[in-house]
Amino acid sequence: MDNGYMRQGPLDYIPISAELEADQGGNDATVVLEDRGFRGQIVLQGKASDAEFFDAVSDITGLRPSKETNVVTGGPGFPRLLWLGPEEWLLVTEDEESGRIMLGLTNSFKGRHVQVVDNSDAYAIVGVRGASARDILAKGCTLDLHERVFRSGSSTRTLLGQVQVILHQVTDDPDYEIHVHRSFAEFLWEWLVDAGQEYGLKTVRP
Amino acid sequence: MKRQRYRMPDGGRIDRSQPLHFTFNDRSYQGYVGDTLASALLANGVAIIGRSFKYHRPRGVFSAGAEEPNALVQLEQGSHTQPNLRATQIELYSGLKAESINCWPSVDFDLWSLIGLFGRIFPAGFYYKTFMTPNLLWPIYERIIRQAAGLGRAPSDPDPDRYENINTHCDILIIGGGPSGLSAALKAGQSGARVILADEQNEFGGALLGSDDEVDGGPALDWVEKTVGELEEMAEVRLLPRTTIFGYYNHNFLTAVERVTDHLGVSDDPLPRQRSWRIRARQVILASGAIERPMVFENNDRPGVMLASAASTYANRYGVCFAKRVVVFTNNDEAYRTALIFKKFGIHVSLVDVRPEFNGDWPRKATAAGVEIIFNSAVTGTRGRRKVKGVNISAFGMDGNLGETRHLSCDLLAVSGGWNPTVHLYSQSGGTLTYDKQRMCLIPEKAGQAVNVVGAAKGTFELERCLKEGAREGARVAKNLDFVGSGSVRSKSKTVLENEQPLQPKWLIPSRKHPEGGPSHFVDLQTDVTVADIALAAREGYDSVEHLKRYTTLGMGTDQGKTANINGISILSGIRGEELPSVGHTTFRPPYTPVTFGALAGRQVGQFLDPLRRTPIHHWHTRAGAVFENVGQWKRPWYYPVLDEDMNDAVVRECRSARKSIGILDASTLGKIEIKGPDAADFLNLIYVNSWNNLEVGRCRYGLMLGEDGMVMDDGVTSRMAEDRFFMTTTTGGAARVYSWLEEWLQTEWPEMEVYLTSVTENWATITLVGPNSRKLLGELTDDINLDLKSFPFMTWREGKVAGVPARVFRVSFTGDLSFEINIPARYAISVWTACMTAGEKYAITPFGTEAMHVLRAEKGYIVVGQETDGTVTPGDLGMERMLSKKKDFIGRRSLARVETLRSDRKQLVGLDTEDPSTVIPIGSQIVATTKKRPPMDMIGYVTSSYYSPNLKRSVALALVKSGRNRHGERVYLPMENGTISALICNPVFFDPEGERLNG
Repeated sequence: MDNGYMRQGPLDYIPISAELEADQGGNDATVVLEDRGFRGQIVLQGKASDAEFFDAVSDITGLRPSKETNVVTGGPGFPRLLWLGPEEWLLVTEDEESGRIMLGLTNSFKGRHVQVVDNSDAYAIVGVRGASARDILAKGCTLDLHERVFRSGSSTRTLLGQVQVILHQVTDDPDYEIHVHRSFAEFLWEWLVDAGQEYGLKTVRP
Repeated sequence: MKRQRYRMPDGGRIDRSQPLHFTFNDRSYQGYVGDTLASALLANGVAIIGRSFKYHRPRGVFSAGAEEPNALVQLEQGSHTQPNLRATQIELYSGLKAESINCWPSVDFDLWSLIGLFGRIFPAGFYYKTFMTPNLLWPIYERIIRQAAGLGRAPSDPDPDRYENINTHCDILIIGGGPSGLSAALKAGQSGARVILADEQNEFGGALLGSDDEVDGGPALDWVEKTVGELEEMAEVRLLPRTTIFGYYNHNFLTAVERVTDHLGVSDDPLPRQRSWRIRARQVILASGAIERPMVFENNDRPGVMLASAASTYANRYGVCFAKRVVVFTNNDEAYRTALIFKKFGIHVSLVDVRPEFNGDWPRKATAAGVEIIFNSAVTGTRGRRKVKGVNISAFGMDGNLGETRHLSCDLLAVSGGWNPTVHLYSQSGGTLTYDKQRMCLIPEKAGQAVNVVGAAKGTFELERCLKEGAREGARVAKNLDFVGSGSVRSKSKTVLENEQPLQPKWLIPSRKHPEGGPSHFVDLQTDVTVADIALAAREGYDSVEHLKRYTTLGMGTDQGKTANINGISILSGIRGEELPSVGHTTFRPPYTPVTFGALAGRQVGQFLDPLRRTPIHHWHTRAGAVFENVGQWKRPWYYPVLDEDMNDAVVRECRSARKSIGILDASTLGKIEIKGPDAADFLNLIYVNSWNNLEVGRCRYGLMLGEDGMVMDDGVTSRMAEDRFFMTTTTGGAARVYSWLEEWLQTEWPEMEVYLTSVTENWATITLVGPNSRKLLGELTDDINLDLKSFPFMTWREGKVAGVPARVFRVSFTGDLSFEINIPARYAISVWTACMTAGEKYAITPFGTEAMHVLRAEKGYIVVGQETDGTVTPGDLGMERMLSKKKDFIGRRSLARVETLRSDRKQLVGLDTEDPSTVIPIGSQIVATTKKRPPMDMIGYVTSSYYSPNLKRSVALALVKSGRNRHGERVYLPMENGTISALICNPVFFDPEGERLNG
């Protein structure tokens, strides 16, 4: 199976200006919108009291699931483990790694009350970075994203432009990653492009 | 182009080097950068701006701010036009076009003004009394009234401008950038707190912009500039000029509108025209200032009558003085400032003070400057037709009797009845107000939220005290939030004059003409409510403030009575013979000033009105020329016309192919939920009406889900993936609802159950192959799934590779024909779909849309939840009572035992066999057993689904009919607009009732 030509990203049909496709473009823009492509996205559910679950996740991924609300373990590299709820996390891996990690987790949790679901294709990942990134998000998100409140290593589920997303601040730049359900990805992308008009937003595909 | 006749050669905050041209009522004028439309019109000697609401009396500029009741204009034309804008708040820009409103044929000659001559016959409640009968004529009355009384015109074209909504949070929101607000912002900002300072004007300074006060020994405006400069340097302070906070809601949530590019005129700027801010503030400091109160006397509405503070502002801030002789009429000290300002410009000023003569700094200073002071007197009326030419004054003693009248000529009458703190937002926030007997105004009493009031908004009118209060509160509020910073020394203003004489609470001045006799003493200038109207309302029993408001329209204009309400209430209290506090006040409601719909909607218009969902195969459908249907937020292919096919042709072709050879459907929108845990089967037992314990791994089962009321809520196929793992599918529209439903039961009712859920709807694309050739085709695309009938029977699922992609294939059917649902990760959806299309070419594989899908399932009598059901349909009504497990409990079970759900005459699912097979009954048609000549007829049911079936060459219809299952073979009728359709009740399964085709 050749993944290369057989697969279609959720944003593949969005026109992204050609001269910016080489990543050096857009660095002078105050805000850059980027299709972050394929990633492994694995939903983990296990009991907060189940120490072996935490140990096993830690062994396989090198990351210990956070028990603290809205806190990401790992990042800006991969893998990263985003807190989604009291007993729920999203493991984000490099695309090539996801199969191996998924297998490792599934095998290790045989017979335990843990749910591991490969949801890699459920979300597109959109990057928003630059000085005006926060202003654009503020147009469609009611949460306080000020650096005193939401900083790199924070993640949350919220609504952005009426669309349910998982929002993760990756670095202090700031650089945000938005995990958006695949079906909404084009809508949200166009919404962000429109929101960024007044800041001279540029779009990039790596 | 006319010269700006009344512009003073220097002074003010306008830039005389930057002239701006504009037109008003099709005449060209010139103003300067820094002007408002009102100041520019005054500078050009335009006295009449509009006509009044009811009597069409000429009206001019009355104020210099948000409280303006008179000078409302229609701004710009065509799609950019905006009605009822206050000329006092429109910043002048080059090319501005404005018109008067509510006048015909022109503002200078308005025929409707004849109404004014008959004012006595148009009292309050006039419409209610006069136009009530006969009812039939109301539409005609309404049309005439609408033309005669009214304001500007709404644009009829779509709004071409861009608007934004934006959310923000702060520690301290400061409302109002006058002396108190600026002092508070400085202290709060220095503490390091996140501060927002919002002010409705184009520059900060508030009342200082129109005054000649001093702060820290220099001009107050130098202090403003310095302070704003310091604030601009602070990283956590956001300054929002041109921003009106218009609503104050629960949890310290406030809304504001920022006029971003309004002052630039019509432009193609990428910036939005306006932004509406949604601000969540931990603390609010309200420094919204105060609004001057007018006096009520005969003909107090003529152009040339103006609030005293507004007259000062036009002179000081805009360098406009259109008067040669000024009369100032007051009941308090503040208006002495206005007298002194005009005197400074060398204008003749007389000051009429209702108070008895007193010795104080103000009279002493005024007398010294040459102002003629007339104590113990009142202006009893104005003279002039189109604008003020003079006033009548009389001695007006404490007994309320008038002395002899004398006449003073003047061209500007500046009035002051004291000040009303701007408590609108405070009141909106849930704070209570109290009547301050000393200052004779409503002031904040008890806060309902985290709001702190400073300065004139709480009745502190002296500059020095405003500065002190602002700084103190700014620091205190910040400290309470744990922000303490080092700040500079507080700014000070010398209190210029001491020994103030208290205000005398007199606002209503009688005249020879009885004020209650007709429209002469105006209380609400915008809605033309007079003292006579208030008296009439009270006489007729509408003497509570709330009734008074609705009966007379007092305070119901676009200005919400900012200059009228308190006077109206005090006049009512006089009539009732009660103290003002016991009369009460009406509720302050948002918005503080009118807000455009554009700003409220923001970008949630057009393509962004509602999110749109696309399946992973969407772009293939687009290229194939599919016509899409909205299914909730999803775009689903409806049908795929080929060449010049219409919808009917396409659907017929698609239906035939699916039954004859092979059809292919994008079913990716189906809801999909992974269910895992040792209690998963028990959980499903409770959720679904049927039983799940005995379902073997690898098998699928159709499930029916009820609400607690026993009504069908959702349906779908759920498959067992492992002993403790299930894969549930839901309807497209029910996906989100069902997932929340399951989570709610698990989290709130059965937390002891060990079950985890994950929605995987979006991870899997679903491609459905339908038709006798589907097994052959699938066989060509997979080599690790055995497809023969025995190995892969109906209602089982298998895992394997399809077109090289890991897939889960389900042998289920929504058409009654052999069918495979192929689930693959969404990224491979188009690849697999394309592989199916390519390999299927030899079978003439046909993509079909939702319409053909509906025809195919209706032929089989398969229900669609939401189409055959509407939340009042039980499993029994659908003929599915056999699915109900008797061995276990499930949600909704108890409700099925209710008498109502057991009734034998409930509406039940049936088929309808039309007499003429080509007749397709419209969906929703009502069914009767016997027809009558005209309605009403006894309706026994209605049609839920109805299509033309190309496979059966006849129409098929599903319906819910009372006792329907016992009526098979009975004739029923469907009365339509043009004739009646006749049909027989029949079995809802029209096609292949034996189910022989399921296995291909």
